[in-house]
This record gives sequence, C-alpha cells and structure tokens, in this order.
Amino acid sequence: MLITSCYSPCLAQENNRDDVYAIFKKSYRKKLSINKQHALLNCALEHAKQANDIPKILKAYDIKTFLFSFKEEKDSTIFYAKKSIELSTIEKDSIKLLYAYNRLANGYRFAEKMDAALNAYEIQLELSQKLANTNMQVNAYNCISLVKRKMGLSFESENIATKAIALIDKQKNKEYYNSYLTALYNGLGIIYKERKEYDQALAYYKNGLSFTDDPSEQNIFLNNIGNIYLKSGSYEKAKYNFQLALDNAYKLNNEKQVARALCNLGGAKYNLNDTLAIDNIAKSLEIRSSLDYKAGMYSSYHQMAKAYKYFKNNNKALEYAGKAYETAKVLNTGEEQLESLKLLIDLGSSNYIQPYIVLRDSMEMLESGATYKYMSLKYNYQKEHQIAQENELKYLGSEVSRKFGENKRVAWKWGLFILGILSVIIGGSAYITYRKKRLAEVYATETRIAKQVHDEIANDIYYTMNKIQHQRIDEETTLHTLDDIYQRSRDISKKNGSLEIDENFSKTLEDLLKSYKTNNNIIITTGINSINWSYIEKQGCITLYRVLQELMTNMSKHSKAKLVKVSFTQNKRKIYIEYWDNGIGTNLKNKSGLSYVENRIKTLGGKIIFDSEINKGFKANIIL
Amino acid sequence: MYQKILVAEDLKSINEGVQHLLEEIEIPVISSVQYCDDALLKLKKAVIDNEPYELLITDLSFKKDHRNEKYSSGEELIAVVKDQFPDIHIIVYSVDDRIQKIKKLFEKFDINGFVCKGRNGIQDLKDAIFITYKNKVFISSQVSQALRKTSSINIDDYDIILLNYLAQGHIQDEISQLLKNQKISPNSLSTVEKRINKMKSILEVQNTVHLIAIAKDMGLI
Repeated sequence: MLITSCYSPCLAQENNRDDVYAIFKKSYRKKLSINKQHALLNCALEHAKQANDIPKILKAYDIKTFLFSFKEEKDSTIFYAKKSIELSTIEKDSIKLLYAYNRLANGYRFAEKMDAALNAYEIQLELSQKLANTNMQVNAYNCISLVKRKMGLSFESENIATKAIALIDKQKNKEYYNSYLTALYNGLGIIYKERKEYDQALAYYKNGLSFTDDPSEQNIFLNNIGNIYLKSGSYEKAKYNFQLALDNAYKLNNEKQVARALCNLGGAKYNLNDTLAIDNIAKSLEIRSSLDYKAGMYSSYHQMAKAYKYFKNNNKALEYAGKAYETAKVLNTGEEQLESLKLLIDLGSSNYIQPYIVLRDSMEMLESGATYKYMSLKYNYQKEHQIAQENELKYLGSEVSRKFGENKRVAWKWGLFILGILSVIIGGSAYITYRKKRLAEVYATETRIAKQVHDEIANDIYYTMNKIQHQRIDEETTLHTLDDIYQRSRDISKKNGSLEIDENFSKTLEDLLKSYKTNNNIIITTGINSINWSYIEKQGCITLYRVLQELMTNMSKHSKAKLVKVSFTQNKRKIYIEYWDNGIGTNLKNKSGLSYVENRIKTLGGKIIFDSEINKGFKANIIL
Repeated sequence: MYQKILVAEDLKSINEGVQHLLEEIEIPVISSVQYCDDALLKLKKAVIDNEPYELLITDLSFKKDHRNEKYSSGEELIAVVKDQFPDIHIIVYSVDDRIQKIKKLFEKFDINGFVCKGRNGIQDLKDAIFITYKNKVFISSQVSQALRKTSSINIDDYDIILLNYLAQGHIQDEISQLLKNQKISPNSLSTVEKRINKMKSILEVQNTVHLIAIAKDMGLI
C-alpha cells in the first residue's frame, strides 16, 4: 500500500521539497520491510534527481548504502557508497565524503575484500584527522586494526590498536568510546593468543571485559578468557569462566550462546576427567543442529571427538572427527578443515595425510599472498605520492619544452643533444664557480664574526678583568661595563642569528627600517607595499634583510644623516631597491662592511652599486 | 599572588637566579624544568591532579642535546601550552630582543609578559610577575616598541601624486577636483587632507611649504 501511495504524490508535487524529507523519515521506520524502505527511497531519489537537488540525492544514496549494509548486500553497499563518494567529491562536502568512505570500507570488509577495505579505511582515517572527527578516527583505527589482524599483519594491527587506545585516553568523554575499547582490547587479546603469549592475552581480555555492561559482549570475553585458561592448562579456572558464560546465556535466553558455552564447558570438563563433558557437548550439538548452525556444529563435533579421544574411546572419536571434517568441507573454511584433518591423523587414520599436506600448502600460499598484495598496494600508494610531487617539479620544465612545438621535434633532436652537452659543461663550470663563491662568502663571514668577537668582546672583557684585578673600579661600574659588553655580544648574535621570513616580508622590512628611527632623523620608504616578494627565494629575502640592516647600522653609527629614504620598485621578476641618505658620506675605499654587503648580494646573482662622496650623502642601488 | 609557578629554563645559573627571586617573593609552589617536553608533562599532570600551574616562565631558546625532544623551542612550547591550557599566564624571559618576534608572541600567542634577560632582568621579572597577576601585560622597556602601535613610514605612489599637485601650487580643494577629473580615486577632500597630514607627520614638518621642500630634498618629486 505504501509503495503505491508513495509514487503518485511524490512525483505529482515536484516542488514540494518537504515531501522528500518526509519520505526519508518514513524510510527509517523499523516496522517497514526492507523492500518497502528501498521502494520509498527509490521514489525519493527519483524526485531529487528531477529537481537536481544534490544534497537530497546524496542523502538518498547514504540511506541506501546504510540499509544495504544491514542486509549484508555487499555489492549494492559498495555501489551506492561509491556513488556517494563521487557526488560528495563534486560537492566538496568533506563530512559526507568521510562517511561515504566509511560505508565503502565496511562494504568491502563484509565482502572480504580486505585490501580494498584497508585502503578505504585509511582514507577515512586521513579525512577524520583533517576534520578532527575523533569518533570516526577511532572507528577507522579500530577497523584497520581488525582488517590487518585478519590479514595476518599482527604487529601492525597491534600498533594501530594501541594508537586508538592512546587517542581515546586523551578524550574527555571516555565513556563514550567504551564500545570501541571493548573491541580493541578483544582484538589485542586475540593477537596475543595467536602469539601464544597467554598472560598478556588474558590481561587484555580482562581489560576489555571491564569496559562493557552488555551481557552478550561479556559472554564473548568470558568464553575467550576460558579458552586461554584451557590452553594454558588452568582447567578449573576455565570451567569457572565457561560456567559464568553459560549462566549469562540462560539469562539472556540466547540459544546460540548457550550452545557455545556448553561446548566450551565440555572442553574444560573432559580435561578435568569429568564424564559429564560428553553430555554438555551433546546438548550443544543438539541445539546447534536444530538451528542448522554449521560453524557451531563443526565446533561441537570437533570438541566431542577430542573428548572421546581423551577418554580413550577411539572409535567414537574417529566417528565425530570424520563428521567434523565433513562439516568443515561444507563450510569451506581452510582452518577448520586443517584442524579436523590433523585430529583424524592423530587418531591414526593415515588416509588423511595427503589431503592435509595439500591443504596446508595452499593455505600458506593464500595467506602470504594476501599479505603480499597489501604490501605492494601500500608501496604503490607511496610511490604515487612521490610521482605526484615529482610531477609538480616537472611542470616548469614542460612549460619550456612545449614552446618548441610538436612537429619540429625531429629536427630539433640533434640541436637539443648538442645543447644538452653544452649546458652540462656550462652548468657544471658555473656550479663550480658558484660553489667557490659560496665558500668564499662563508669564509668571509666567519672571519668577520671572529674579528668582531675579538675586537668588540674579548678585548673589553680583558680590559675589565684587568681593572677588577687592580681594584680600580667599584661594583656599580663593573656591572655597567659588563652590561655594555653583554649588549654588544647580543648585537653580534642578532646580526647573524636566524631570521623568520613570513608572507608579509614588506612589513618585516618596514619594521626593520623603522627601528632605526630616532629623534634626529626621518626615515621613509616608498613603494614597499606594491612589491611581490614571491619571486625571491627565502635565502634572497634573508640576504636583503641583512644588507639593509648593515646599511642602516652604518647610517646610524657614522653618517649623521637627517634624511633616509629606501625606495622599492618592481619590474616583472626583478626588484630594485634604492637606499639614499643625506649624511656625511664616505670615500668608498677600504670599506670592509661594504665589501661584505657586496659579497652577499653577488652570491645571490644580484647587483649592488654604491655611490658616495665625502659630504654628499650615500647611495646604494640594489637589483635582485 | 600566584600560588604555583613553573620555570622552563635550561641554563642552570639563570634558573637558580629565578628560583631565588621566586623564593624571595614567597611563591608557595615553584617547579623548574630544563626541557620543553618536561614542562608540558608537568603542566598536564598538574591539571589532572586538579592543581594547575598559574604561571609559566619560559626561555625561548633551549640547547639541543642527546634527548629527542618533541618541542625544542620556547615558541613551540608556548603554542602548545596556549592551545591546551588557555588559562595559564605566560611570561617569556629571553635574551632574544627581536621586535618582530616579540610582537608575534604577543599577537599570535597572547603571552602576558616579555622580560629581557640583562642587567635589569631579574627586577623586570619581579615586576612582570606582579603586573601579570593583575591580568595586565608587562614588557621590558628596551623592547617596549614591540607593543607600540607605530604608524607606517611608507609613502606610496598616491602620496607622490598629491605631492606633485602641491608642488604645482594647488590647494587641497583643487587637488580633490583634479583627481576627480583624472578619475583617480580615492578623491574626496577628506582623504586628500588625511593623506597630506600623514606625510607631514612622517616627514616631521609643520606646513605644506616645508613638506614640499623636504620632498624635493629626498627626491620624491
């Protein structure tokens, strides 16, 4: 009825947008069968598509994915999740994209496409980190840990799980993540159980148990804990835990869980020489058979066989082991087949040796194959990243080569070849010259600093020491002198210290120039705000800063200038800086400070020209 | 007064000096660390114990050694502390007196005080502790220009157009009209007036004649 009543009004009132939301709401109703929900959604989707209402199309995809995932219709889940991803990417809606990847990953996981699932979860993780969505981040960690465990990457899985736990630990509302903690600790317990480190596994299971109040989940832990005790030979403790699980299961009235606890309990009991074990296992088998729960039936058969083997009833043991093997074949799960075959061989049935070996080999291949596939995928991903970065670098190169044109390519070949050789030679020698220059500059800077330390610091400290030794100065004067030396050593380090260049380099320069303002001078800049510094490398900016610093320091120390102007102009990529002051000027000969400035600019491939005469001010033109 | 203060400083002698000062002014709980990471740990622990620190005194530069530190500079430490514990007061106690840097610390991280190490460093630090406790900002006098809102010293192309008109003998009303004719904007009388006043203040002159004279001297026109 609902389907028919939906179609007509929904398509008739195209402009009534609220209708679509009403349908969405309806589609969530639990009472409706899934088919009806889908019918409703299809109708809403149709409507949204006609109206080209993208948010609503997305919403419809989202709910569809969600519903399919419940029904475990993996292909449909994946299909709609992909559609959602497509649309959210176009819409640039990061939050929707995040959830879509989560659904996609879940779809892949249910479909047992573990490598694809892993990739999707990793994207989910990345997005959730960007969006600071802790819930989805923990979810991603949890799922990645699970998938990696299933792929046999137990160390990676452990690593991720501990990351997730650390993340949860940082949250204020920890209780909110209890269900994740339960799952994570359970996973860690399984990992350690597989590594046969039973104490550690036990600790994790117990930890996990403390985070859940749900009796069903508690039962999972009780059974797992019992199994660990069973493996480590503490049969009484195992029995106790299985008994607790059984009581719980009865309370819940959950037949599957009752059967599981009974089967496990039987396992503990036969090890304690208690013949009641057979009854327990038989009961579990009965329940599982009535439910036609094949995986459970297999466990019961297997347990029964082991119990009979313990009680030295070889015929019965062989009978049940055979049934277990048959069930395992129906289940088509490698591990169970292997396990039952092993038991059959142990019981002395040599017919099964051949299939056992074949199966074991093929399983090993499969397992390493899955790991390998993932590893290569991971490697490829990193490689792609690298390639993308390289491509960016190549961009400039391609710009140039495009100008040569497609048709003339053959004719150009030889030319290019020769050009190549030439450029290698020229480039090489230019590089060597550059290196030499660079070294020379480094050397010059070092000697300059050394000299400065000697002249300005060491000498004065020596002088002060002398004075103190001969008691010629009082405490106040000593302090004063020392402070003076301290200030000067600060100046040296400031001049040569690191410099932070940010986006607003114009402002940085202006502040530098401004700091030389006193009551006796006027400093102005022109054109500084219209300069685009992005053409100049960071090193260039630093050099320019240091050079202007040097010029301004000279100005304030020696020039007695009243007016200072620093003008900036730009022509395409070239920047012209003119420094001008009306101070006493200099004769430009033997100026070590200036040669330092000259060196620095030249190393950058820039030019600097000084112009000054005594009493006629000072000028410097810099081209970068 | 502050009840709980943390000092992050890797030089032992300076650390002792600060400790001495804090004991002198009777701060009940004083802790000191030599690494940024340790500082962060202490702050976190204190918050968990519900006895948070009220003031952090930190250096900017920390010497690198064998320890592999997550936060290796005072600036990084300040960034993460301000992010995680926005209530704590921070006084930077450093030899670094670069105006730009200090400006950034105040503007970006909203620090409460900056004290220069130097002859008056300890006295300044003492003042800083009392002043920041009252939720006011402290800055050592030698770098106080970092907080001063100084006007620009830049004269741009538009200003030079105005200077040229002035040099040709036009008064402000006429300049506004001329700009309108040339379709140069802004061209309102008030803008013209404001800009000319700005130039007068940059070039420290009283009247237009003096302004033109200096502009000529400086080669602006």
